[in-house]
Amino acid sequence: MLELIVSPTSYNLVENCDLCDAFILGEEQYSLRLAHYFSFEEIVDLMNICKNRKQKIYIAVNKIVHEDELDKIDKYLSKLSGLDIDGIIFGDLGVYNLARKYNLVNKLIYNPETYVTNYESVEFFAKKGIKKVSIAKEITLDDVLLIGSKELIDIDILGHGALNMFHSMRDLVTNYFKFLKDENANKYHNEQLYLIEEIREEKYPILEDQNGTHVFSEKDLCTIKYLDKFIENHIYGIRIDGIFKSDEELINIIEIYRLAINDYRLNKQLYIDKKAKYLENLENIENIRPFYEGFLFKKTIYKGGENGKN
Amino acid sequence: MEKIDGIINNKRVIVKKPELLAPAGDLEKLKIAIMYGADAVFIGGKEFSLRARASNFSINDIKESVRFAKEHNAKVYVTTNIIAHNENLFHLEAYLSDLYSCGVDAIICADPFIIETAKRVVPNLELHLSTQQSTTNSEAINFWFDEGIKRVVLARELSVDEIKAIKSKAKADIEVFIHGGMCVSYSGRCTLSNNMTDRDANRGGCAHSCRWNYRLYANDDEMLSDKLGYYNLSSKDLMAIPFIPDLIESGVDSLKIEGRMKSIHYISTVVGTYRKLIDDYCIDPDHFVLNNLYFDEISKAENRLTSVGALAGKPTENEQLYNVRTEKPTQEFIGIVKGYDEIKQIATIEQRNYFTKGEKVEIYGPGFMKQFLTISEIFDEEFNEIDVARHPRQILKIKIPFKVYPYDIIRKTREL
Repeated sequence: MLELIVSPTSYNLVENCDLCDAFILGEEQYSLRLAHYFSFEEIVDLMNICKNRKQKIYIAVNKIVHEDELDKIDKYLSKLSGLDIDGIIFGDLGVYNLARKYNLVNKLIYNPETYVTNYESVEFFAKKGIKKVSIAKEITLDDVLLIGSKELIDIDILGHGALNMFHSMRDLVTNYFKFLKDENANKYHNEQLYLIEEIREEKYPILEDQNGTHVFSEKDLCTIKYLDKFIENHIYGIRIDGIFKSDEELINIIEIYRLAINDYRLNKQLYIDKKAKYLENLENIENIRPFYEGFLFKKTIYKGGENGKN
Repeated sequence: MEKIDGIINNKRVIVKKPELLAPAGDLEKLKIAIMYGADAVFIGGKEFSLRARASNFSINDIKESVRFAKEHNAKVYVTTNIIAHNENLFHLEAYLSDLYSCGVDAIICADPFIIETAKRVVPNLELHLSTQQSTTNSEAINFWFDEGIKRVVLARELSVDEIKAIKSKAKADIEVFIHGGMCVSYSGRCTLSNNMTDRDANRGGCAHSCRWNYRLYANDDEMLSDKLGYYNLSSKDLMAIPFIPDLIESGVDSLKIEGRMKSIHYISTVVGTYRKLIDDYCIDPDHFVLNNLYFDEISKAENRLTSVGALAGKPTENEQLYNVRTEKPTQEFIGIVKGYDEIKQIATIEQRNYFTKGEKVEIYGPGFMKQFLTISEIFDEEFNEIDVARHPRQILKIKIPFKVYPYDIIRKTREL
């Protein structure tokens, strides 16, 4: 059945939410773009709470690792190897190499966000003995289902949340205010701002943090209507990403996905009949970020033409 | 580890000279790059390659490229660096076999599907890992080395100190970008173009959305960007001249110039400058002086603002490009020499830009040769005298009182 995985917005939320099957937890210095960062002690506490409720814990070690951080990551993996965790999410293949030392390879979940876009690539990582692969969010529903149907390895995808579109190592907000000779150039560091391109209307969230600068889609991907297809084509998990959400908004979203999966479990027709209702319930969540279908029905163009701004 | 330097006649010299790798968008550019000193060139075939518009080498073109390169002791690498979708998983085997039978020296790839297929179909073809994988540490390099990757092109986010540290631990050969356009994001991890235009950045369609104009707002809708200007994400182009000595001393294996879309004027100038710089340094590193010569020469071809990227550490506002409209005209490229009649002192040239009688020009060629001239007589192919050369690619004859060679390039002298 489809695992409901949540990237949470706070300690409180994890402490009190038993609706999902798994949480993604991470510390600021090892992970990227989490809605909330935890201390190691908090992670250990929450793990004990979650274990009692039969929820899984995946630890995010998904940062892009620079050479001088290898030791730090190595030590962290050693520390994690002593915990009863269910998975380690990584996006840099250096982490794979280090994990071998601690017999952690079978806990690894490869999520580089943009790179896993075909079933041959999935098979490559399946053969590396890892636990799971997260496939890219920039491919169509047909492609997602085709990859799943090959049953190569446990696969999850983004179920609900913002699409990260851009990650620079540079401090692109602070740099800009320095360029403007602003005396307090880093005043927006760690603050969510947004961008609008000069001939477009979309508002893209932009966030500068300790890992550089990230730009996101205006809307959240929403897959509530396709859970049956995921289940039937061997997609084993969906991630609900808490980024840019309050605890309340996130809990409301989790509840609706939980209900939908449970409905399917009871009776597939019930789930199908209620699709419009789930959507309506999502839309009715106060302050919810607008949502859309991302790339599920938008095939990107292989190679560019002469068109488009350049 | 390989020996980088040695003592010859009581003088330290560099014995491990890194490869100078240049881009080639077509056959003419490839020949120019090699003539002006590139040890290797990279080209794009019609399939599986990024930079759609610069990837136009047919299999026959690739054959000719390899033939020309071998004749001049140079190597040819072919980019097969897309991140494939399911629909792109076909016809690769035949394509790789064709590339292998053409005699190419390596392919540059990023998708495990392409790597695995190549290992199976053309096991003797060398594999280089593209910068699209944004490789930033030695453990990731060694992962790929164990998968059969001979060389890794490093991410463009690394300082020269990081590159040195990586080089000392990496099992694979290391290639480093030294010049040209830069992604401001980690390469391969950006989908701005996919999201904003449907054009797939990882499949050759990047629309360069990072270079567009934006406005920046606070969450309460207050506009934070300059009222008169824009907010930009873009990076200045890379220009690594000041770091070439350090990179050579670090023992990296290849120094790469970006720009398969660039003109032969650009390629000849940039390749020629780095060729001279590398050679000058390697022959006598302890007395080498990084003088203005290199900077002045390369600036003749540059029309975009440049910086050292991340080589000096995390980029600041000085490495950002904040107003796109700062391009300056390059020194004008007016023609390329096709032949020379020593008796008549007449050069045959192909026109590339408008020029007239009386034009003051600089003629330069491989080996950093430069000569200056005022054009006194211009003739068409039938030796009718003309005053103005206005037809693109017209074959012309001009009087030049000193010997010039095919592939020499003529450009206007910059007005000071």
